[in-house]
Amino acid sequence: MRRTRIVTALALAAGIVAATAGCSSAGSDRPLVAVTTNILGDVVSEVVGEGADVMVLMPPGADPHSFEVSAQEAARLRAADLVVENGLGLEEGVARHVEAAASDGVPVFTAGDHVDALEWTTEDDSGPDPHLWTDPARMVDVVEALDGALRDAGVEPDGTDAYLDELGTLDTEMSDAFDAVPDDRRALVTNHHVFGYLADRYDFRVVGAVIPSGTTLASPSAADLRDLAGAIDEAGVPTIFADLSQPARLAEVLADEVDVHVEIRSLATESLTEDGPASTYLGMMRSNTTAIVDGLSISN
Amino acid sequence: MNEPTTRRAPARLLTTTAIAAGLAIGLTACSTSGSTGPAADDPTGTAKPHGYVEGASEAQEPQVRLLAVSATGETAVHDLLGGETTDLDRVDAPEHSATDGRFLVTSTDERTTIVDGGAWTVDHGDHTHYYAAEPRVVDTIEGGGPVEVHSSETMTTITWPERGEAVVLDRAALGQGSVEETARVDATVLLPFGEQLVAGTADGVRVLDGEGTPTGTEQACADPAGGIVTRAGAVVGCADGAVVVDEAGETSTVALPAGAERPTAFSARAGRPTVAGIAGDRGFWLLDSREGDWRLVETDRPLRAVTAVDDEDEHVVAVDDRGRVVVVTASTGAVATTDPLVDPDEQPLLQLDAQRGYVTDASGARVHEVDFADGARIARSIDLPAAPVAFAEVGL
Repeated sequence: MRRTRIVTALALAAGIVAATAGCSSAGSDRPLVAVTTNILGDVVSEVVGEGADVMVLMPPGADPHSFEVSAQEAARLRAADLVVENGLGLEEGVARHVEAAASDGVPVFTAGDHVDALEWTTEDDSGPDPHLWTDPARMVDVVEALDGALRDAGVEPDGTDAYLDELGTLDTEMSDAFDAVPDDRRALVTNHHVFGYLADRYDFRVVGAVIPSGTTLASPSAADLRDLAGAIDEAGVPTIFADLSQPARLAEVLADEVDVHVEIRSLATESLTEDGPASTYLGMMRSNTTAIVDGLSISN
Repeated sequence: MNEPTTRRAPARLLTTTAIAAGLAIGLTACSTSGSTGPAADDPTGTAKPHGYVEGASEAQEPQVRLLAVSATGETAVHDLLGGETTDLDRVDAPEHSATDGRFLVTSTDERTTIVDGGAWTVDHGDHTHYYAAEPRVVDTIEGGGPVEVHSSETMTTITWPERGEAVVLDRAALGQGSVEETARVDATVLLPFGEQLVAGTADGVRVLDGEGTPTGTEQACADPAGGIVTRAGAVVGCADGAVVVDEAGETSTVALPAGAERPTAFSARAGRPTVAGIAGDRGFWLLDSREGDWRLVETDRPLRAVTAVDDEDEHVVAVDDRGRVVVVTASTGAVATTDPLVDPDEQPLLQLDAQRGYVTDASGARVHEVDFADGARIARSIDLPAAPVAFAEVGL
């Protein structure tokens, strides 16, 4: 886990020149919008435009479940004109700071309150799925509601319409791209837990599987790979999507032990990165779309 | 390339015109200090993720390690992913030991030592955090004898059943290397359960708050011995069954058949609702703490150690009195048995995770890695610097 940088609100729309203005709470008389996650931070920055200063709490590459903020940031959060959070239980580490701001009278906009939320369930447990950003249509719902919340908080957003257009374009692009994947391959065999909304929107199946880890791969047998091989076989896919420390080793073991031949790719999931395609929300969604389409289009 | 499909079309969004690249969008990067661009780490603005320990890092998969102490107190940690073995500080020659999947607690008759395996897992339902930090010997506590240890995210309880004493320690402080006692309770079983404690006492099972004060919830339980926390509740063993306290604070008694030989210890894969305990010389009990149901599974030979995987096939891993590893697939009744592997005169120590079991061979200075899904196959035998008499699999 890396340390938080205070300055994290850098965001670029894909292919678009962004005019970035440095600002400080002391030096700016614009309203302040504080945002918890860096994905929402990018979206809010685009929507707000010049209408406010945006402070993003979660640093690039961090885990939204477990990042926390400094005392300094927490204090600034309580002085914000609006706090934007994802909600649905995502930001476990900063929830208490958001609550503190709310009890100070700072209005809080919770993205999860404005979408048709899905539920995750396991054998033991269930709860609302917070990973709503994997569906751009739900992000439209969020942005439309956000526009009103900003105005109520005294912020004049100047990018709402343009960003809604961007989201519309993204949705169309993803829909068209996924149309190229045959229906019988529309399955994500994955240990990522964030793609429920994407699957809901674009008619994919998410196939959870026990993906063998380090100790298993040291001395594997066919029995260890039965669950995963069965899932791959049932899904009929040439690529699985997983975050692994030894992806090449798993691919080799699957081939050797159970004659299952797959590629293993990881996708961007819960955090924007400092650089690269996943440094913006739109870029992250596009690079995941390309990876999924390419991965599922390989001939067996 | 766009095949027509009948699936629900994402049409709602398709009403807007595309915004082309080349448009300039203004946005702001803000800093509390007024600097622009990414700044260096702010010394006053240190972010501390929950579960944060100085030097700890989050990983993609469980950071499983074996922590072993020899009869003379030599302590070593073996990284099951990297394969390296590292010596830790020597501890008192252990008479007894227990683990919670991160800490190994050893004791002599006089005092108790806590060793931090430096690897642990935090389960948040739909996602899981895996942490790795430096392993180390933390400290000692006065008072010894047979010992038990259990942890929640915030509390670690250590119980000395023979003396009927238990302490509650601040788990975060323990992870930072310091023993901070937050409560002391007269109990033979003490389990942290959420923000509360479940105690097995001479007066039955009682629910206590985090400071050890009774909340008023109690349930009769004669001679409490053995406890475990599962996702379905906190389980305390009693003379005639078990008491289960669920998340809502409701208590229930799961009675054993009349005349049945009770288990005095329970063991299972971390968090799983079905747990195993030895049933005298007959085999083992499986207690489903969610359904409130006991099941007796008989074995050829008496068992010396048993633990439940509680996976789809309902694997149970045991060591019998001949030193053989026995894997029972409870869903089918299938049994796989190895040749004698460990010294039957030494108490075998057995731990497991979702994929592998680990059995100590105290006379051979090694630990056998058991693939229970593959007919009790010994996947690896891991050599240790000295024969283990106290042992933990950590990172769970």
